[in-house]
Amino acid sequence: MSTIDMEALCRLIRCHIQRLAFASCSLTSVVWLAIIAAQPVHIPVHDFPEIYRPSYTQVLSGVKGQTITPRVDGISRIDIWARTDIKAGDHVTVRFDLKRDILSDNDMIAGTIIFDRSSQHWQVRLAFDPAYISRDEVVYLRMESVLSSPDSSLHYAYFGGDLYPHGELLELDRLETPDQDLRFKLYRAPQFPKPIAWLEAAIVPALLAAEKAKGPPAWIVATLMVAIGSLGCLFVLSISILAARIFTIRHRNEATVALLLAIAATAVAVVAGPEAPIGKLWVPLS
Amino acid sequence: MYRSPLTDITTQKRLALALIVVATLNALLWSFVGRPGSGGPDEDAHFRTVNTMVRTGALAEFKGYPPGRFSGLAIRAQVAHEITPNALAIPVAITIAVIGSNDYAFNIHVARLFMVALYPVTLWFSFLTLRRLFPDTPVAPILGVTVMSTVPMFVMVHTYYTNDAPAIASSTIATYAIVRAVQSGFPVRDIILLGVSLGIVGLHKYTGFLVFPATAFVLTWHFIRQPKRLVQVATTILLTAATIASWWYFRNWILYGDPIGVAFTQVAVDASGGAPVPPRSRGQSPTEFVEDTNWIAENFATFWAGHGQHRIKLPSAAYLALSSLMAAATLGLIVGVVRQIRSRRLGINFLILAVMAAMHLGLWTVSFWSSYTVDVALHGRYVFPTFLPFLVLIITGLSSITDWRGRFEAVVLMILPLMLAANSAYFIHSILPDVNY
Repeated sequence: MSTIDMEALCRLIRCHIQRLAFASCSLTSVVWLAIIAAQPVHIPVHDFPEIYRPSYTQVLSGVKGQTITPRVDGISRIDIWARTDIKAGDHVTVRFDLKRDILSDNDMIAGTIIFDRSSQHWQVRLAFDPAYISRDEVVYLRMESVLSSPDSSLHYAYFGGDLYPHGELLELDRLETPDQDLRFKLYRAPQFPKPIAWLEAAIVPALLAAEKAKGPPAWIVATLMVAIGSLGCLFVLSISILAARIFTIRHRNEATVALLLAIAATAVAVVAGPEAPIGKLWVPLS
Repeated sequence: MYRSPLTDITTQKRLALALIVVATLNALLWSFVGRPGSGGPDEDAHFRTVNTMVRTGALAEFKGYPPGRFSGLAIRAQVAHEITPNALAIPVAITIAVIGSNDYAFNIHVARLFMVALYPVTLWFSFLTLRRLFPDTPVAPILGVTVMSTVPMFVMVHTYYTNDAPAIASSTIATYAIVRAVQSGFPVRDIILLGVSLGIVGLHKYTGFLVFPATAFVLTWHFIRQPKRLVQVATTILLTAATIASWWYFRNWILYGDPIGVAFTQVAVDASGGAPVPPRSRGQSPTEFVEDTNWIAENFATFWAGHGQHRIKLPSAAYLALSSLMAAATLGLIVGVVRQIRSRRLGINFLILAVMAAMHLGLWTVSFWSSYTVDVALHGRYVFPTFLPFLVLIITGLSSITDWRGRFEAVVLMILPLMLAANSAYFIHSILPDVNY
């Protein structure tokens, strides 16, 4: 084979490798975007600001709980944070009950989870029917844990001050120490189906904040957010085209698509990373 | 030979403009969600001065502090907003007098629009400066503008009413004027531009004032062998700046007997009774002060992010990444400077780099000295008037350790949207839960 043939062959192989790289980049990005897109949409309506650092309380009595009074309809998810120290072969079983009356089990929804390993960062997501809780209705989240051996332990994140004035942290279904709150986050279900639900989830918290800040009317804030989002997308497209022109001369279209998807996937990971299913515990309550 | 698509000036300019529009709209959104009066540090205090101007129809006058104003506080907070120059308060007050209402929230949202409006000015002049300084690295100005558009604290100072944003804008314009004048050999137009921009700096917060010694240094260096020309240029600049700014200092002199007002304010703070004694005066060493206040870590953290009254920071992983980037840039900067000194190529670029370094590091020094000897206040945003010099240093440092052409340029380009995404993540996950709480 002559030198020229060899060079042509090398170019051909390089060309195919490049196409393969772009294709696999596109495929990986699409899979990641699909995983995120498949996640149920929940809109945050209550959270404690980051400035408040939670403490951790060990579950000694076996039962802890928090009364909650949502200010909106359609609550569909409650997140709580926990730490576990589980010895080899042990496990901790926790039953979560959501009920309207502290002392009665009528009209209750429940779910169970088993912790079989230690972690400092459990984020437990309790998902349930949005019709279960109405606005301004007091509900009780009861968490009953059973340890397979006394060597293991379970701790819940909580706040020592009365940061949530619409409820209390209870011990054995009673108020032992006033002015304490479990660390929890409330979400509501979107009013629209996907893909509008994603837009709703992005815009609604900002609308709420602007209303609290006595800012401009909601339609101005919503239009502004849509404008920022649209311009941001155009910017990403421009960057992808420019970067593709630098990366390759031959397969610019494939490169542009691959880079566009890669940027979108990474941006989604940065913004919506906490909603990714990896490392999260979902507990359906029914 | 490799030719960057950004070498085309139209493409580069359009990309920068698109970024600036997105950044400005983003700042507008942030300004809408900030609680009136507590959108950021001292907003309420600054706006009180505007309210006084609206009510009296004249500039606000300092009447002293009420007894025990600083008693029991950890910070001396020695600022008299009526004495510290902030000329932008005048158009703000006039606008509120004309279109304002009795609603405090409405008025403060109007005042915030001025801060937001200064943001694209700062970004555009930064772009122009970086384009002049890095003509062979067309992605560098875009990167600089993106950093300015996405660093949460830098965005935030343009979203609530304070005297930071005008100080940053005027200082950035002055920095641009210095670079422009040096590169073009001080033609009359650039001399006037420099004089005007220094005059505007003189009418705003003192943190922007390091451009004055920087200008003096540049002039001396440039005209060291032409003393007559040095005097001519310096006099023109000084007269232009003084024509614009001197009235404020004469006013202070007449009203308080102190043109700058620092000594007068210090006396007023002491007279109020019970104010904390500055660390230096109570015999604390600089080292003890740094350890006690966690000065370095707190300033570094709030330089990047410190939203609201509670200074909400970034996740620790972000600080780790930023620290690594700073370390790499510093190393690159040292290598680059040593290389230039060894090759004896100390031209205009070296002069500009030295000026930028002096301005940025100088402001850190002033910030430290002020907090140690006067008020104990510490926040990374105090050095924002030299954010542009900071970017010049970082880009120069990183340019010394890697070639920005070819695929690396593409990688830098791809990082830009991710920086915007990170800024959005901070807004969604940190700011909104805080303001919605």
